[in-house]
Amino acid sequence: MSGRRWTSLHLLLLLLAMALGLCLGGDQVSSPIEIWSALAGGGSPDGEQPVERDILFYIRIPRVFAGALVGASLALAGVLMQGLFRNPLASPGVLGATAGGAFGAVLAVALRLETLAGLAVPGAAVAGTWFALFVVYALAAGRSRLSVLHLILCGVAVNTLFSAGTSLILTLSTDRYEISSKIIHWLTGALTNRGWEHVLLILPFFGLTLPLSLFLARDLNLLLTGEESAWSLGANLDRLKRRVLLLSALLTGGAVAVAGMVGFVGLVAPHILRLIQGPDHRKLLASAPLFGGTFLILCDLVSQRLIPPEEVQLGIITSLIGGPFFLFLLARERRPQ
Amino acid sequence: MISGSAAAGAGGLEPILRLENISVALGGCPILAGIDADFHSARVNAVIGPNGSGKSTLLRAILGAVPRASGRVLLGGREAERFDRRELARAIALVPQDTHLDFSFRVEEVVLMGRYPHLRPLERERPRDLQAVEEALRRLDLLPLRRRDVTTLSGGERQRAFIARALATEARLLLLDEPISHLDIGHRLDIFKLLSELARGGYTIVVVLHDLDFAFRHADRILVLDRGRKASEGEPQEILESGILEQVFGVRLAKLPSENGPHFTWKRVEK
Repeated sequence: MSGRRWTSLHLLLLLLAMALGLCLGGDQVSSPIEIWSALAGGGSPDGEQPVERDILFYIRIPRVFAGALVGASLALAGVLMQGLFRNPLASPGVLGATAGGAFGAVLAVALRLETLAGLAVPGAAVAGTWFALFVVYALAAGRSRLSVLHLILCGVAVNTLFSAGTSLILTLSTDRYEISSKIIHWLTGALTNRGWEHVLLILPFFGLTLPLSLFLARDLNLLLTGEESAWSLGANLDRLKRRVLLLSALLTGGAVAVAGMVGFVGLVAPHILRLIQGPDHRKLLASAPLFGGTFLILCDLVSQRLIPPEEVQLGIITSLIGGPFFLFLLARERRPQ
Repeated sequence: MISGSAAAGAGGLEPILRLENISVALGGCPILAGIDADFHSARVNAVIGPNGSGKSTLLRAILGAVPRASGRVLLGGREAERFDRRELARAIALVPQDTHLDFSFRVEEVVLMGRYPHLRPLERERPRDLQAVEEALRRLDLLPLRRRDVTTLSGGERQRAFIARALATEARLLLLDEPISHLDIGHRLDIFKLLSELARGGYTIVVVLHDLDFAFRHADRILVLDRGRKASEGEPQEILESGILEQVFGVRLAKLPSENGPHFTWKRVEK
């Protein structure tokens, strides 16, 4: 199939997932007819706004959009990272980006910054992500050439540091139940009560990054055949690495800010896509956001409907689905052809 | 070459590569010191030398992939530094030493990468690009394998895919970094037959080799490097007779008596 057909197929699947999210989200199931009448604005004969309409407009629609954008951002960041590291096992977590974001958010929660400004916690998450990647970049770029191995090693170190910081804050907050439960909420990732302000928070990050990423497709393809080889065909490697890092920071920052730490999407989504449509980044960069969005909306639905009216944390669901699937892929790949 | 693919494709240009006083130091360690060399078109130029003599670094220096401490690279009389990156990629193509891939590109996708220097960032491939890919696939007998995943190919097939990629760039100067080291004897001979044909067709071939037999049997001209310096340069026969190999490699060619005429083999000599 051509790249365009794949993109259309993925778009269709995303729209289906969004429709499912609207019908099945929350603790009650709505029929498509109910949804349609609420969307069309047909109130009851006595002129009152039906409560379904509010649920739809202020809870379900923003939640579905937020989910789509978070999934899209993580999947796109995953494609970029795996391309840069020439390793299908890389993900935004490798460079400490998610750990940095989580640390920022957790610190803000512990300091009760959300009482000062509504978006203090997401803002701190973005700052944490950027700070982590900045530290990694500054350490790795100290050499004359930006070496991928060096980046990974710095990422491991930064990851460890931020995770330790997060654990420390969590330990110090155990006697304050309210704060520690919020922290755990962040660390496992969720889309509960995400409204339009969250959609507006992540939208510029994603909207800015997607078109810029598409420009990197060919250079990322070349990089997969080796650095020297890529250089000989005109790829500007240092510039490419800087751009991939910057774009991944924007994407991961936005995603962590809205949903906390949602694991495995950035790892599994690109991997699945590569298996079904090949490693060409011109196709991957277009379809990964659509596929990631679909995947996250469906995971979010499972998290809402598994044991209603309780919600299971989204990050637990993505890991429960993504982890075994990933193991399956690895086992399948290793089988001799 | 200068005005893009059309000029290069028309073959109106014979890029002659000249290296002037090339020195490269990596991490404070001198790798190449004052290399002067000319590479003419329509020839197979071999670069030989013991391990660590700077052969691969010389190719990198030609591509501008390592910073040069001194010297100039002239392509058709014009300084390589004055080329922009894509322009240079249309003039010089590299067949890398390591053709291993972890990602399952199709053969035709790898060959298509040779057209990237001809395309603007978001531009789709034009009929001319697809034609160049077809031509390169045909030339390397890869048409039956075009849809195959490169990670499932044998070493020889993968090597051919990367040579096809280099041809698809329409560059007339091909650099090959030890193209035969992982191949069996039959495939080695195939590669050299192809390189000779390309040279006869006006390509300039610069090939780094470990295998002296192949260098002396198939190259038109040989550059000998020794610990980052040029030890010698000339026709294969001149090099063999000059005794430079004894100094550089510590080997000499010895004649073995045989019923069907003399056989030759390399013998170790004390340096």
